[in-house]
Amino acid sequence: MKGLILKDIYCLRTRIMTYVLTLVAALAIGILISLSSEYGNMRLDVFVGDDITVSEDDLSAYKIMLGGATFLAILLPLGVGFDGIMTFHMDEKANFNDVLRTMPVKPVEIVLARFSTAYGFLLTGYVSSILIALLISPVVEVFTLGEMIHAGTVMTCALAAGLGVTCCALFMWNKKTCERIFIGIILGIYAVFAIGIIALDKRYGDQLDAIMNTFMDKVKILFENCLTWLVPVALLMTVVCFFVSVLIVKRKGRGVR
Amino acid sequence: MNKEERMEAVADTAVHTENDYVIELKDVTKDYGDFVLNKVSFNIPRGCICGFVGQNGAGKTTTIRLIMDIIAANSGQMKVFGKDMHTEGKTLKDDIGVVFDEMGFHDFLTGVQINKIMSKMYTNWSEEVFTGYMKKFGLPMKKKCGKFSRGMRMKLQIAVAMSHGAKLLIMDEPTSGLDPIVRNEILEIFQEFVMEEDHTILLSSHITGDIERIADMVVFIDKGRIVLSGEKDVILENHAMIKCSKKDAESIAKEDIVSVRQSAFGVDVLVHDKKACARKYEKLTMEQCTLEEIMIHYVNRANNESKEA
Repeated sequence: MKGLILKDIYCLRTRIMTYVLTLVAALAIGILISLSSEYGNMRLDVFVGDDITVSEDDLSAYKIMLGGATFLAILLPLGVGFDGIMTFHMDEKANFNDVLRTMPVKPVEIVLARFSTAYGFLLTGYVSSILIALLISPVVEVFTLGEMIHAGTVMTCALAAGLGVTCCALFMWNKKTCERIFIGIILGIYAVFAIGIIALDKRYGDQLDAIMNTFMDKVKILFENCLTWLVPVALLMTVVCFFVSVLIVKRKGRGVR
Repeated sequence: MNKEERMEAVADTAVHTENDYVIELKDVTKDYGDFVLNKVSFNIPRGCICGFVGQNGAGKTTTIRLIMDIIAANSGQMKVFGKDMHTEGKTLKDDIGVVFDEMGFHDFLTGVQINKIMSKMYTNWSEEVFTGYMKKFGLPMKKKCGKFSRGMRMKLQIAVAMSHGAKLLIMDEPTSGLDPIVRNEILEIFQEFVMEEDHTILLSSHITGDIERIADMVVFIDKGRIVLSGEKDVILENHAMIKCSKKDAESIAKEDIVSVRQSAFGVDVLVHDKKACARKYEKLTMEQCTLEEIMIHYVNRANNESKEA
């Protein structure tokens, strides 16, 4: 198993530049937020000064713009943390899986090594995200440091659960098939969302804005209080996905030429 | 063990006990729908080089994958070192080195990194042996293996396969696509490997010249069926080619013939019992044939049989 982890580290070392560049980009976004606040009259106290009247919509747009940029700065390192699963594709490309099955390694060791690398990399992304939050928190006014860490933690938990499912899929199918399934799921979600909006619009018409606002408020409350159930769910999903992956690796190859 | 001793060991198959066989396959079947590996059976005794010959797509790689438990058989029995690979794979694979026709290492890995990885994968990995082979094969330790030529890649795989104290080497087309000089070097390495008493090689190839040169026993596979297997020298000794006219060919009894092929000057008839045929057909001239000719005629016979069926 140690050999497999070492191989994965060598694999991910080839992607180190992508990681560094992403961190730089995240920091740059943070700095730009600071610059825009300081020199672009975008500080909240300047933007909403005593002598300036700001409409609700403008304030909302301001928060979305700066909040979105801040959120992106925190999310970028996490996104790259998900990059650990690239080792699947690298092994597939190098025909390493065939060689691996001739080596004295148990299926559970193969899965454990993969999960260790993937989750280790995600953890690195989470730590980087917190560091970015610490660095940009003095200049960001839309979110407090606590809110940024909370957002990063929620996203990490969601990604951890997704990572387990992705690992299962990549053990089961090749990268191309997984990509097709992933695109299919995303398109499916968009379709359901679009159909839902159209249906709601037809049924409620003018009341849709109010319904959406209520919905977003509920989502916000859910987001604020989700860690108590999201952490155990993410952990449970990771454990379940681990055992499913072991079963897949044990049975893999049967019926395939 | 020198060549003569190995030949004696292989020839003595009648007294082999189960423990003497490194690989045992009995009625192994794998059905892919469009391709069936049909009731494949053969045994490979300890200490020999077994040539596994067949044209591309005959089922050589599938058989190797089955032996290594990379894929599961539909039916049949398989044993490696007398044990079941499926249940005792981890222990058994420590004693087996496998070389595929395509290198399975990432292009960015260097010899140094491969050494580090493998030292953590195999219980008996020897850095000394690996670096020794790398030096012997002229492979730079610090160069990325993606920059290696095909011959160098093959040598790298062989170095890895032979650096963990493997007693059995399974090679899937290791010499295909290589120039004659590199092929020769690799065959010499295999011969050196089997000098050790308990070392065995299963060498799959469609290049019969290589098999004829170094193998002690031969297994012919065609369209998923074993068409011929046995000691190489016995196969070569028993088979003979009769080059004659079509009329003369008709005088040869069907049970003596493997297959008949039209040639530029008449017909080539492969017979499977040279001595008996020499007595029966005194007027006809028999020529020594090569493994390639034998393979071609057996494939020809299988094709004719399937056409008739």
